[in-house]
Parts: sequence; C-alpha cells; structure tokens
Amino acid sequence: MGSVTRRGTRGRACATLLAAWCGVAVAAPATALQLMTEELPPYSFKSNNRVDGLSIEIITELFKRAGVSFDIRLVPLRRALATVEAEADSCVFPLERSQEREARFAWVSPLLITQSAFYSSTGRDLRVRSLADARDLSVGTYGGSALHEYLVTFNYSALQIAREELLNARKLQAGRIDLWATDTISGEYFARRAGIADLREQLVFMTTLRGIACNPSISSAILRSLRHELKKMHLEGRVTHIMNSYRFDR
Amino acid sequence: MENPVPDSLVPRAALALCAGLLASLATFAVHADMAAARKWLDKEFTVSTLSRAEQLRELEWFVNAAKPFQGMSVRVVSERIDTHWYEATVLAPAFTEITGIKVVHELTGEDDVIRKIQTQMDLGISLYDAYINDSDLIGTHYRSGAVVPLSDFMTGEGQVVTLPTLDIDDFIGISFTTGPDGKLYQLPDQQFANLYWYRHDWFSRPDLRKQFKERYGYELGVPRNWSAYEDIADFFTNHVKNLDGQRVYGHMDYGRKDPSLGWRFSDAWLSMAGAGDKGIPNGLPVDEWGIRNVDCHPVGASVSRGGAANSPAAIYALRKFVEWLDKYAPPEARNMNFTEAGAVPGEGYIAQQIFWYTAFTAALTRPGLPVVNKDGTPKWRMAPSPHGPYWEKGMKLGYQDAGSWTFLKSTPLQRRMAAWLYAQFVVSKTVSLRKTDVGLTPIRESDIQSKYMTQRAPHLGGLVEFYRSPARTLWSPTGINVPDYPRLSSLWWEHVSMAVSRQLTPKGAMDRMAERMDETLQEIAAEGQERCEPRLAQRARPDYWLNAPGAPKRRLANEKPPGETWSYEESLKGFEWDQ
Repeated sequence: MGSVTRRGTRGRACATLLAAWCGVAVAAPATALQLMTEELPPYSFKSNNRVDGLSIEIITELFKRAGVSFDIRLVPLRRALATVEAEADSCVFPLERSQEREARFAWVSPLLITQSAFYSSTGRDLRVRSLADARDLSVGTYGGSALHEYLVTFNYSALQIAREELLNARKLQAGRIDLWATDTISGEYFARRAGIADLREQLVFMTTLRGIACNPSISSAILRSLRHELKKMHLEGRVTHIMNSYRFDR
Repeated sequence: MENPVPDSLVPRAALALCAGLLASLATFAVHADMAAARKWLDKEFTVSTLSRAEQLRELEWFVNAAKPFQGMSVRVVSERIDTHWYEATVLAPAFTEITGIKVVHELTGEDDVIRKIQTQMDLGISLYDAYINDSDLIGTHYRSGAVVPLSDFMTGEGQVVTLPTLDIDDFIGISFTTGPDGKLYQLPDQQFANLYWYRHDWFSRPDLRKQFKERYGYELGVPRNWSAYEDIADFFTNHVKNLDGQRVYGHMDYGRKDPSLGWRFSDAWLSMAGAGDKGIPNGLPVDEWGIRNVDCHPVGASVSRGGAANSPAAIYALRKFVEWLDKYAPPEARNMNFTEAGAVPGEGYIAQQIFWYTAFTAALTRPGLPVVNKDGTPKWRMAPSPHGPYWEKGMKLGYQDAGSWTFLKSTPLQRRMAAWLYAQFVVSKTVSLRKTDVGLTPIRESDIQSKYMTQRAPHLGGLVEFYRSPARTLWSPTGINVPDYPRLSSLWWEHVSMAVSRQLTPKGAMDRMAERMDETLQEIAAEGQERCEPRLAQRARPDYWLNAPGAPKRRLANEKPPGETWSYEESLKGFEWDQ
C-alpha cells in the first residue's frame, strides 16, 4: 500500500509563500513531512491510485493553510506507529490521543472528534442503556482498534473480532453478533456498503479526540503553525463541515 | 428504541412534541416515575442517612423538577474508577427510569477528561453537558471565565432545578472547589486521598520487629518521617529479602515516562518533602507546585522569582524518588505507569508504599487476594503519610483527589439544567451512602459519620478513620496558584522522566523545569486570562529568596534526621496533627 500516496499539492515554494501570506514563520523541514494513515473508509481510502477521504481532506487543507509540504502514505497502523517513533519528520493520523501514547509523540489535535456506538439490527429486541447492558452480549469489533482495546478493559466476555469493518456489518445482518461496536461515521458507511437498511443505533458510548502524532523531534515552529491553523479551522466550522459531508444522514 | 435524532436536536424537538401529551398524562407520569423510584429504593438505595420517607420525598422532587426535560438526552464524562463505573452503569439508568431524562455517562482516562474539557473551552464545541473534572483545575477554571460559577447558577437560572436538600455544607471537599472570590465552581462527586500503605501483618511479626530494632535502633512501625520510610525500605528489600518463600520489597513506585509520572509529583510529592509554604488547603504564598502567588497572580516558579520548583527541598524530593526507585523497588517498577503499579501491592510482595491512592481500597479488599484475610479483613493498613525533613506543622501533607461536577458556559442552558439534575442525583443523600459503599470515595460528612460506615470500618484498612479525622484537610488537591493546569502539568513528567533515565541530575531536571514553568507562565500571561493572570516577578539572586522567611527554603545541613516510627494506633491519633 506504500505506493498509494498523495503529495502536498503546492510544493515547498508555494508553502513558503503561504507562510508569508499568513505571517507565520515556519521552519520547513529539509524534505516534506511524511504522513501516514491506515486505510479506513471513509476517513482514508484509495481512489484512482491516490488517497482520499474525510481525514485526508482535513489534512490537506490544514497543511496548505500552515504552509507545510507533506506526503501521505497508506500503511497499516502498527507499522505507521513504529515508523513515526523511529524517524524524524514523520507523523501518523488520525490517532487517538491516549495517556499511553501522550509521551511518545508530539501532538497536533484534535484533528477529528469522533463518536463510537453500539448498533443492532432493528429485528432484535435489545435495549442498551450503558456499557454494562452490553457486557454479556456478543459484540463485533474491529481487531486492533482503540475501541476494541477500550472494551477489553471493561471485561467484555464475548467480543467477536473481525479484520474488516465490512465483515462486522455482514455479521450483524446475518444475526451472528448481537451488537456491532464501531465509529459512527464508519458504521454508517459500512452498513450502506453491506446493504443494511435497518441499522439501529443503541448507544453512543464514547467520544474520541484524534490528532496528528509526530516524532517528538519535529520543529516546534511547524507544530505551532499546525496547531494555530487547526484551531482556526475548528472555530470557522471547516472541520465540522468536512465531517458532515461524509455522513449519509446529513 | 433509541431516538436516532442527534442529541443536539432532541431537547427542542422532544419538548415541542411532548408538551401537550405531558400535560394530559402528567398524573400518570408522576405515578409511573414514583413507581420507578420505589423500585430503586427497594433494590439499590437500601442504605442511606435519610429515612425511606425522606428518600421518597427527595426522589419526588427529582421527578417533578425533571418534567420539562423528559425525553432529553444528556452526555457527561468522567474518569474510570469504580465510583464512576457505578454511576455510569447503575445510577444513570436509575436516573433515567425515575426522571425520564436519558444519560450517557462516558468513562475514560482522567487525562482525556482534561483534554476534552480544554477542547470545549478552547473551541466552544459543546462536547458534553457536564464534566466530572478533578478540582486540581480550580485555578484554571476560576481564571478562564469559561466555567459556570455554581454559586451563581444555584441562586439564578438554575434555582428551579437545584435540590432543596442538596446541603452544600455537608460536602467535605467544598474548600477545594471554591475560587478566591468565595464562589463555588465545582461540586465534589468523589474523593480519595493519597496515604501511606503498609503490610500490618508483617510489621506486627515479632521476628521482623526484633531484627529491625537490632539493625536500626528503633521500633518497626508506621514511619513518621522519610528517614524511617527509607530504613524500612532498606530493611525489607536488602535484608529480609524473602518472606514465606517469596521475594519481597520495601518500596513500590513507578517510573515510566508517562503523564501519570507527572501526577506522582504535582499531586503532592513536593508538599510531603516540605517544599512549599504553610497553608491549608494549599501553601501560600508558595504552593506545592513551587509557584509563588501574589494577590492571586502567579509570579514565578523558579527560586530566582521567589518560587520553589527548583529549591533545595524540591531537588531533594526528586532525588529521593529516583534513589528509592532504583534501590528499593522491584526492578519492573521503573517501566510501569500509575495503572500498572496500582495493582502490585495486592499481589502480596510489597511491604510498604509511601504514595498510595485510597481509590485502590476496593481493589485491595477483594476476597482471595494474598493481602486479604479469610474473614475479609485486610492484612494491610493505610496511615498518615510520612513527611520529609523540610516539612513543618501547618503545611499540607499529601494529596486528595476531588473529582467534581463542572459546567461550562458554552453548554446550552436547557442541557446544563438537565445535566445538573443528574449531577445532584448521584451526590444526593438518597444515593450517596450506597455509592460510598461501592466506590469508597466519600464526599459527605453525614455518610462518613453514619452507623453503616462504622460497621464497614474494620474491612476498610483505616479509610473510615482517616475520613473521620479533622486532619484529613492536610491532604488536598492542587490549588489556585496553578493558572492553567493542562498546560503546566505536562512539564512535570517531561522533566522528572529525564532524572529517572539519568539524562539529567535531579538538580538539572528541576532547574530546567522551573525555567520552563516560568516561560509557560509568561506565555499564559501573554495570551490573557479573564482574571488573576500570571505576572512574572523580576529575577533576583537566589540567596535573596532563600534567606527570606518561608519557601523557598535553604538547604538543610542534614537531610536525614533520625528515623521515627509510631504504632498504627498512635498514627490514627496522628491524623489529628492539625488540632
């Protein structure tokens, strides 16, 4: 998947120009920042040999505003994390900013504010009001996700791990799991792909702040610039606007 | 079926839709809700300082006050300790059944709670309708202007949804959540302290007592000072070594570079060493972070500006932390964080721990653990924290966490009012004794003094005795000197970790941290705060401040005075040091 890339569209010369326009002094790295993200539609996915998606759109606008050039690669999350810890001028996104990860990276956040929910099919007579109500039900999760790890810490006895979210959607449709625990935007996306018309949101149980996690050696000027522009994008409603454009119920 | 309409649209839609229906069904609804109230009193809230009739009256008030908000869904967030799990999984559903207001109570790490409340304050995005946020942020909240002063809310726009029997004076942590203006900014939801923990059964063994006295010249007991703690650590780790066939250690702590390493310090470590000034709940003018405060303006953390973050006492505190971790703790402790280390005393091979959170009481009294007797009583005890050589009477002696309900002005009023009802429900006298029974994080004087807690006391290792003592006020959270907790708190783990990894000496680490703290105070001042913003003092020669009364204090010629211990019974009386 490393061959699927997107490059900052304006290049370094233009980036410098943008920085000048914005009055922000950005010490650009010798080469473009290497950004990595995992393939997770609709946040990031391959499209005509380039990467696209919700988080890609936000990143592209953010880096353009900050005048920082970048390359994006789709790589598995585990590899991305290892690379960013080892290599200067590299970052991974959108990554949940957890206590365990806090000290390992320099952060620009929140890039995204996402929510996770339990879904059932409407044919099931279930009522989930709290995490405890779901603890003894069979719950489908995406293996290796922060959401899966979160539920593990609450001693969920019957987690059914899938390697793809689409499989969870199909398992729910076939009645092989009681609940599907997933990100609300991904849930809508994959339910539609699986042809599920009767998805029922039982409980939105977790709000997650996701950010850009960079190697700690990243230039503090770049960090300041990215943080400043990201805050402006939030205050102007740009991030919400981009997120809403990926919701089916908008 | 859950309502698929986004939460933000629910209130108006629900209110408009239900208004007529509610009017005609009001009588039925109240009966239905009171039926739910009776059900919950029968099955869950069976212990209370209120009579059943009083509980019913209190719940009836909730039923009526909640009527305008029925059908609304509110979202709150807290850290994930036992008390909040109980709230999220038992009290939230109970509240929904009784009031008709749906509550989603999210559980996450405390650092995440802080980031989320900071995000809402910075971006104005209404993420949650209420936060249970540690009162360590009182200095931040007071200065930000983003937090609703509850004193104003309860007598103003929130008066109609303020429980008449809330009894604010019954809360033991109110001083922690009150700003310099005397207004209440947060309402305590749960509290736990950081005390000394030790294996009472081992300390009572005649063979070990004899060996200890022969080697150190005084009785093995609860250490009163750090010298004794160090001797006991040395005794178990280097001399006893094995007990009942297993390797034992005289000290437990954690050292991984992680935000929790910072809490270990900012919570109270410097105050225990004695780095700050006298003053309860926090030292004034210099607090336990080493920040000097003049007329409510922070003026600096470095000694050159009158602070104590790199004072001899602070450097001593860090040096002892690193030294004890290396010399006396299990080797794996260096790579652990707060959560991982918290379970270790329960595994049965730790003799004592100087910095132990009472939030772990429930976890360490579970039947079957090596530290619990067959009759359910603990083999361990909690006792007053020993103090370092710079500590003086009148200073705080440790940390108390006060997770407290916090409301932001950016939350729409209707949602804030509904969330305030839930907040009051989970701290109401109808519920609070049962919640204390489950989570062991008491907030009300009436619960602490109850007959029920007297019955529970023998099973709780000293928790009840601690909270009944007036000296509990010596254990307090971060106070008002800290103007921006989220921003300043990361400096602790970033610099302490450099000393743990030997990148810097303890002095080098504290010098650098004090400098960074001053710079950050200056940045906060430049960005502006609504009130009491930092005003950095001019630099002076360190001797100027070290020779002045109070903190920062000069280096002591002897930082290891003779060790002193006392019996557990004497230490309980010691809980009354401030009397």
